[in-house]
Amino acid sequence: MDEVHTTKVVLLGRTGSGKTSLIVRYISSVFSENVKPTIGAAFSKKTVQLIHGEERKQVVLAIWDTAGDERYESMAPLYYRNSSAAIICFDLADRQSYNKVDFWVKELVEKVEQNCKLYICGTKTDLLAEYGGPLKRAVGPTEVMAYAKKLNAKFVETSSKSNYGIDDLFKLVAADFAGFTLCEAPPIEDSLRLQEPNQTDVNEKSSCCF
Amino acid sequence: RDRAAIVAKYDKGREEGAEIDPWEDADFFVYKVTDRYGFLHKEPLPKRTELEAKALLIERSREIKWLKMLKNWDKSLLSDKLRNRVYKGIPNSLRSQAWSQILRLDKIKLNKEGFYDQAKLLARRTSPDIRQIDLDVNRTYRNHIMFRDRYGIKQQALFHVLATYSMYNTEVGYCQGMSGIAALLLMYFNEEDAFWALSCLLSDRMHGMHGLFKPGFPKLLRLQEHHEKICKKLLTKLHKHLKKIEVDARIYSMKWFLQCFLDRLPFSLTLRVWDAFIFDGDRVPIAMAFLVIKLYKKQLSKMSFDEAMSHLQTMENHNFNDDEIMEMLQATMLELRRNGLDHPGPSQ
Repeated sequence: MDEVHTTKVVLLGRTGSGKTSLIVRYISSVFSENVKPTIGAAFSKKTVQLIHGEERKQVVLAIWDTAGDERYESMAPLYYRNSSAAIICFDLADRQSYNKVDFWVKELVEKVEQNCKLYICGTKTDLLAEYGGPLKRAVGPTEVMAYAKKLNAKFVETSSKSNYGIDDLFKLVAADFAGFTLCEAPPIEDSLRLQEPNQTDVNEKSSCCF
Repeated sequence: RDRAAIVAKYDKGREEGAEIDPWEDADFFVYKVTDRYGFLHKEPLPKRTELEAKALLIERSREIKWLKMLKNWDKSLLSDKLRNRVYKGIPNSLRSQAWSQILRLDKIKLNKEGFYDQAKLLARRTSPDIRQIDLDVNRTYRNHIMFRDRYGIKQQALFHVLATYSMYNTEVGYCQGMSGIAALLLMYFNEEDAFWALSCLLSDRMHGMHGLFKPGFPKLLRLQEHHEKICKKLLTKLHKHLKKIEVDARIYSMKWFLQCFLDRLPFSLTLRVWDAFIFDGDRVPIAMAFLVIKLYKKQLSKMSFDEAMSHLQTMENHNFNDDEIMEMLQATMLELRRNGLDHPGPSQ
């Protein structure tokens, strides 16, 4: 039997930053045109299999999606309590959305007692001019990277529409949790390989919201 | 002779053997994927089952009774039959009239002529919630034929109802969750009536959704606390188990109370619960929340946190139809009343 670990991951970020779409893409492998505003929070989970040489580990990610509406911020502690990772999302084309990241970082640093790894996630790359989209990048990557470095956080960019960077983000979260180091170079035979559970694991995925 | 042939065709209707040219029957895809409530599905809908056909027939026969009741509304209000008929389901074709009468929209609108339009103009210029409302209109019931088209007529109405309300009730303003409720009302009301109905649900004593949405959600917290109290008293063992696996009412019941089970039940049942909610107010979601836990008592008592959470969301794997659930809901309301738990009482 592989070792199985469960870890709690929370998504935070300004309203409309794409938190729900990110999770729907990751859990159901689709880009949904019909994502509703999240009321309160939503729970879903997925198993990631990590393989490193002889070593195999399974990490179950218990993922909490939260509401972006500022009024629900008072509820957030219910969801980030005991989280080992927080993914703070912002819309790459929206400066205000980026400005909200710091709010969440400060809240987590101040209120979370356990060790909670921070991931800063710029969303909607498909909308950026550099990827053929209509919008301009509102925050330069160097600025975000410098900020992330200061916090000892990791910075990733994703597109739920084109499925860019999504799996990698959650694999990274799982690997960090399990103490695996991700290999930057393309995987070679005995270096770290990360793979998704195949179809037989379908019933291990579930998603819901409250 | 022509006349006789034409009349005969109408007598025969669409029964088997009827002669209908294909060109006479519009064959648009949208007809086949739209359900009776206006939701669009990916695949053409399956043919009506016998059970569904029978339910529709019963609904038709109820329409006649409802028309009579609506005509003599003041007398109907005094009758014992009304509540039972509400719980048996208001015929969908008369839902707008019935909801409007139950909420007394005509009374509320008295002497308010032109008010909505003026308030709307003001809101367009000054509502501080425009951005959030815009964001949410763009993602509210986009799978419904009324809200499908970006900036379509009903999206315009939804935008304006919410913006106007945000200025009308500045303590609540706009809060995520209200767009779904306003959209549901717009499925049955025109823009102005939807506004007054929303206002009614938030501010009247029976529904009091104001406290659900205002900053800090005081009423939500009160209802959740009350729900815990009910479970602790009437389902003590299960309540202990849920506590142990850390399944907290504050987490699973939020959407139940904030939107009275919108999106948490099949839409046909949601409407039935909303019929009851509009008629009886708060006591309905309180009883419904307890009923859900009761329904899944067995399963929940063996579940882990993850399983319980998923289960309480999808609410599948029970063998009851809408009618049976509504009967159980009524029985649960009585049970709670007998135990003095049907309502947490007024806020302090």
